[in-house]
Amino acid sequence: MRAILALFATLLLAAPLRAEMLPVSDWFALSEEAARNWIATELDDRRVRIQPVKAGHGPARSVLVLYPRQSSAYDTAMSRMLEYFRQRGDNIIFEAFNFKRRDHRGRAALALAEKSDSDLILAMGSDSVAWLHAHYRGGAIPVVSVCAKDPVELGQIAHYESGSQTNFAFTSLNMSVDVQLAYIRKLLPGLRTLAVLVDSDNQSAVQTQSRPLIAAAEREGLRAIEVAVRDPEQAGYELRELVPAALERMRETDPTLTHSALWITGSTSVFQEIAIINQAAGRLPVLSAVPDIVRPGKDSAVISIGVSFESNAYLAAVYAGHVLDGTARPGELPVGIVTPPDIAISFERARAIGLKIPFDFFERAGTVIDPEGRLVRQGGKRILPLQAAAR
Amino acid sequence: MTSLRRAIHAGIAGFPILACVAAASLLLLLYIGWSEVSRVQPRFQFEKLAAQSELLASAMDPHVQAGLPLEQFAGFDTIARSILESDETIEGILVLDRTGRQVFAVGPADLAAIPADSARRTRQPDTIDARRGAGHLQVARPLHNRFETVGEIIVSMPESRLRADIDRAFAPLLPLAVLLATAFPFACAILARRWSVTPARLRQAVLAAFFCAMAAAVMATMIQLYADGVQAKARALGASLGHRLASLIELGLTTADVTGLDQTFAEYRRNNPDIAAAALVVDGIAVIHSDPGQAGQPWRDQRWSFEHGRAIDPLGHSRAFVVLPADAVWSQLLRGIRSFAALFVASALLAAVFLQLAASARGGRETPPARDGTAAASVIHPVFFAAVFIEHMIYPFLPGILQSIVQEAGLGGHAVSLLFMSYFLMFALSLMPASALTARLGARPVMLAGAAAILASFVLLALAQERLALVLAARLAAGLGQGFIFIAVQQALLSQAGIGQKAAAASVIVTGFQGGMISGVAIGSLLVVYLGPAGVIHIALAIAAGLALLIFVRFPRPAMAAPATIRRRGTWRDLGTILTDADFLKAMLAAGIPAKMVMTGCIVFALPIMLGSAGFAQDDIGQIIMLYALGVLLCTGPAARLCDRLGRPKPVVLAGGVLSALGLVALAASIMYGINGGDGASIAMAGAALASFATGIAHGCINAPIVSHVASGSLAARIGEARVTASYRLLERIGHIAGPLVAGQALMLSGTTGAALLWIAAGLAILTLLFSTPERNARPVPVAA
Repeated sequence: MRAILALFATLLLAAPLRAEMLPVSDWFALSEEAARNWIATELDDRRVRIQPVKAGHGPARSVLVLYPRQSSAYDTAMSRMLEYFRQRGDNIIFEAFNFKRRDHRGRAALALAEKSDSDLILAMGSDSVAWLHAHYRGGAIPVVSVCAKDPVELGQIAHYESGSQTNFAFTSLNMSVDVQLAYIRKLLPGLRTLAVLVDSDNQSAVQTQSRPLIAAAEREGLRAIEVAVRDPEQAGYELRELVPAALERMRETDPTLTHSALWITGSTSVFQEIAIINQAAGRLPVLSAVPDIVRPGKDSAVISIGVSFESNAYLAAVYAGHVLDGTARPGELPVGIVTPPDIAISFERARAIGLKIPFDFFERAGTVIDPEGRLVRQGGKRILPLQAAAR
Repeated sequence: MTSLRRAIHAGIAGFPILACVAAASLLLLLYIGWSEVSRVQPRFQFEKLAAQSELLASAMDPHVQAGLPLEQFAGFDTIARSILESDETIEGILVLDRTGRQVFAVGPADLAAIPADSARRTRQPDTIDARRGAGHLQVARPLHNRFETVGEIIVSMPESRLRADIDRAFAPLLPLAVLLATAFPFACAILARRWSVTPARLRQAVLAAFFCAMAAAVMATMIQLYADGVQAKARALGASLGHRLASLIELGLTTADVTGLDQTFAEYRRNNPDIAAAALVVDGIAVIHSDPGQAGQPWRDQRWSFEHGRAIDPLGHSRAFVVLPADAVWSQLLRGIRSFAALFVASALLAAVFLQLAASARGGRETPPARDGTAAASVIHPVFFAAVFIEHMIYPFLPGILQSIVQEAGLGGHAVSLLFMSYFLMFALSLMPASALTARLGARPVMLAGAAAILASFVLLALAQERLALVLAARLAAGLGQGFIFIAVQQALLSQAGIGQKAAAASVIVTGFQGGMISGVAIGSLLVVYLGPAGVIHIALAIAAGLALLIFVRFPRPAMAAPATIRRRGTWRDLGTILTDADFLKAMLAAGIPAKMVMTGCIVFALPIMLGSAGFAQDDIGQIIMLYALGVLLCTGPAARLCDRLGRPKPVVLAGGVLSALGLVALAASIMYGINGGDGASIAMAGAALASFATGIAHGCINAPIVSHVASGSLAARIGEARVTASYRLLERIGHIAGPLVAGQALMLSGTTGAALLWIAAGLAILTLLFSTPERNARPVPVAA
């Protein structure tokens, strides 16, 4: 049920901003741009082969991409990586394998990789990384993680800088909480109280986002409150009560709520209720780590400061390129964290709550919604008024 | 009118020579000014191109940092064409991807990026690469996303356009030079009737006046070109800031929607330290100002500054202003003009040599039948100057050549210094044999042999093609030739001078050496930019051939026979006598050798290291050291005349010793002050320049007078002046060699903070005190008439 909910929410939120995806199988799709330059063929219900339309230069290489399930986030990430390798002009054939989080399918994928002398395994999503880390740590084929949560917080690696010293190179979908907090404090210099909204059932969100952020805020002398949804299926109902209650607690230290903010973690069940959260928050700034939660219209966070799937995939592709070229050993690469973060701003919401945005945030923002609620910049690219209206 | 006609008739035969001398001098000055501007102007252009590349980059960076492919950037044409339209010197703009493939282009279809590895490159701030080659000036501004470099922006301008602008600015000066050159002999003829000075003095004065007039015209042209270059950069900076703000307005936002613009402006100013202020002006009010105190005030035109505004909304209500203070422009200009000043001195020295050569050519017509000595004297200075000049022409690039040869041969780094030392070693070893040969055969054959050896050295260097043995042979031949010419010139001069004129005669050597060195280094470093090392070596070879011919044709045969005072005794045996003479030893060890040690050890060796550590720019360091040589040059003549007037060189040498110690103290203080950086940098630069100049003046008081001092001592009376001076010249070389050793130890002990100079200055003061004690065997010296 959770997976269906997550899929629904992701599709719902991503639809207005994402490029159209072209399905190849029931669990694999590519962007139009990627589909123009790569031929994707469904080999059977668990495998898709992707090869370049125009063969690149250099030696032929083979890369296995291990999927745990279907996800539009993975389609976005895969499309971004394919675009990167096309630009490099590599001669790579990818084989995407959906192991559906089952051990025997995972072992079959590894056997296939070893039999076909794969040069690299891309572990797509936290589940693939966890399974490979448990079953293939120290294996012969290098592994690079994509679209996976913080490996340090999840105990897969001890330190960010030291490298795994195994065949794993990690990237992280999370950004450093200290950096995140520095951005929040630059946006709200007088901040005293921060309420962090999370789904208590989503352990990875609690473990890698909510708790580290609360700890970092308290270290800096802020009052941090965790607002945890207990039943994701009833998140809307719960939030109608939880948010006002949280505001009451925040008034204890900030009676006018002019030095407070709400922070939405990457919990799908929470961020899909943005309309309810905004309504309850009033003029309190609603911020988020999820770039897609900033979108045209009133049901949007005012700003997001986090890492997009595209950015993480790009970094993973750069790591993969280094490993394939032999210019880096996977075990020596530090955890890849995207910096500076992706910023998305809704000036419609900013004006509504009277919040001013730092000019350098505006300059760096990949996504900008203008005061009329129109998407005017996406992916760093200016969108003309007609295009914006069409969207 | 009658007097003019008479004058013209009287000197008509010499007019073409004088006109040619003036033309050569003035055209040389013009060429040097043109070359210096051609050398410096690309720097201004690169800074402007860098600012223009930033304008495009500020639009592309958000796109690129979002990880999007370059080819999907939509605004290239609009921005690139607006840059092209605003600056007609720009020929095109390219965007290349990480593989070097062209993604966007405006400009000529065949425009290509200069490959980084084949260009002459200088790195601008923020890793912008300035490239020069294939007839273009280009900057390459890398485009980074958050993970890697994904491409680069190339902004290109044709060098021909830059040259055309410079040529156009200098074009009116060519007829001016021709006019002045033509007028020169007439002016001399007219003024000769009014002024009762010797023709030589008159010609010098008139040529100096014409030379200064030409220099003023050249400098005015340079200032105009430099100011244009600096302002072009300011325009580009203004456009860049305006574009950043315009992106806000274009998206339907206002400055009220954002915060931190004041920080953005302040940061913009920090990143571009040349600018005085940056401001956002809305309806005449500076709503944002890099100086917070000015925010909210009405915007006023800035006096004594250059300001450039760019509209950031369609109606022009809001404008971004960038202000460049006039003193920032002037400091840039001063920097350019300081470099020109060194070349100006070099060309003035060359002009003086041209005039002496002309006098030599006209000698028979203008004066009574010349005595051999007079004829020789008019040739000696140009000969010595030319010999030193060509040796130093190659110094700006010789260490580099030697280094590559040594690397090619697979030898260690110490081999470079040994190869460099080979010249000085052979120079020192040649002095005694040259002295003996001059005593036996006269100056002319030794001088001719020296010129032949110098010519051979350049032939070998031209043929060497990085062959170690040939280069070594070339350097040894050069040392031998320079040593022979040095001794022959010295003895020819001293043999002509009366007892009271020894210092004046020695000063010809010092001024010839310092003048030749300044001119050689300055002109060599300028020419190598255009001709490359091989071209400069060929020019030096041609001058060496001319030098040999000049000596052969103009230096009289019988004149320089061995002076009667020189006894035919083994020169090496003199050393035994000399080294037991307490007065000689005191002069050498307490005054002569310390001065040479300070020159090679402190000025040439340690000072660049210390100034570099204190953050002084490379060209500033070069100019500080050149000021030392200028001080020596300017002081040598007057110091010699003062010695001759006093009849005793010792007080002058003593003054030199004291000033030398004070100069080192001032240098140390300037370095210590300069280490703090900030606003003190310009004061430290001025202090170091003055201190270096003062040290040069101090050495001008020592170099020639100390020779005169030993030549007029009791020892000279016993064994002969020539032998004493030759031996002294040999022994003072110990100072040249020991200087870097002593300074190196001092640097190791006290670091590069300037303290080493204080220790050396203290030692120098003690030695000067020692030198001031009375001589044991003083002999009365007749005062010159």
